[in-house]
Amino acid sequence: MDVDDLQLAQNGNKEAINQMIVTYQQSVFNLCYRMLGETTEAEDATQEALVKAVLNLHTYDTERPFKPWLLRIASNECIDRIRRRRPTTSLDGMGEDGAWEWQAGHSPTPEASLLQAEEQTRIRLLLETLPPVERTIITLFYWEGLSYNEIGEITGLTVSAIKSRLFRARRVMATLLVQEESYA
Amino acid sequence: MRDPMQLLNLDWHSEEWWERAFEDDISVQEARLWEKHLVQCAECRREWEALRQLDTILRTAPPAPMLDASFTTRTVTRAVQKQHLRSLLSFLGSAFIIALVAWVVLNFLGNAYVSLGHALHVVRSEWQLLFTSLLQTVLALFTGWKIILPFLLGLAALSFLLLMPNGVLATLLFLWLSRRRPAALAVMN
Repeated sequence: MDVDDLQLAQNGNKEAINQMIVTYQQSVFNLCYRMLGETTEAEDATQEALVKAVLNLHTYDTERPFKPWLLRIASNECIDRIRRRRPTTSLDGMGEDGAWEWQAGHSPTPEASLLQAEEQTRIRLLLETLPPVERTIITLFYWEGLSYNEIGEITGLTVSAIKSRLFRARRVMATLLVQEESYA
Repeated sequence: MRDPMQLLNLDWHSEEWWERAFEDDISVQEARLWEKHLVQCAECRREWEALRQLDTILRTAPPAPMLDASFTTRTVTRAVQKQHLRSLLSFLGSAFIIALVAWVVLNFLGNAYVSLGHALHVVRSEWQLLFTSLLQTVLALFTGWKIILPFLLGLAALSFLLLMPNGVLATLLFLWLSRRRPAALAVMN
């Protein structure tokens, strides 16, 4: 999506807004899904973030990259939702969000779906051990493939702070992984 | 022989080193020494392997689900509705503020106008009062001339009496000078 389209969207052009949402909705959803761990809540957060982005398009500086700006709105939305949540962690290995049903609809075999669902749950449980900002950094680094500078644009942290937090987050999750395996 | 770790001034257990090593931000020599350390230190090896395993798990994670087809339509509809609602609220807010400001300004101007009106009224009243008084005086003088006539005649007589002796004296002086004029001219010639 180029600057002209974004300027049209800023002026309230419905076609341009539609195109903006189509272009970025999946990236925003990926971030929300990893951060929140539930499909339904991630969809709600994605919609909320995109609507907020549309309503605040006039504050976007077209000289700067659009995606980090949009993902910052989405990550703030997710962080707010995580902070509003009660500290309940599902330990039964299966999400409450119907992830299994979705996977079943898209995977070739039930076994593969089950494995994928288990993997998603495992990752979700690992991510849930992290504070919201670290969760955002891990998500942006691994699944959005953003550079440290881009992650800095979104989180407002310096590159060295991001590296440090990323490593600490990895360490926490690795420790949990070792514990998980030793219990198994 | 000195310890290579000390030679390179490295601390294998520091967070800074682990960050660099995990980011692969180390030289070939450092990497070789790190490999050696991992063979010797079981604790570091265990943690290093766990980190590597985690990295692989995260990199090979199944993708997030795809959004359903109706999501875009729902989101665009909601965004446009909210945009319209915001425009409406912003219009109503602006109208309210304009009305409020206009009310305050008009109220102030109205008060000022009323005050000015009062002031003008006072000035006009005073002027009218003065004018009326003068007019009434003139009219009174005009209509009641008979009453003041004796005073006027008295005043004229008094003026005559005061001025007449001077006039007589001036006339006599003039006559005397006229008579003396030829004699004066002869003396001068």
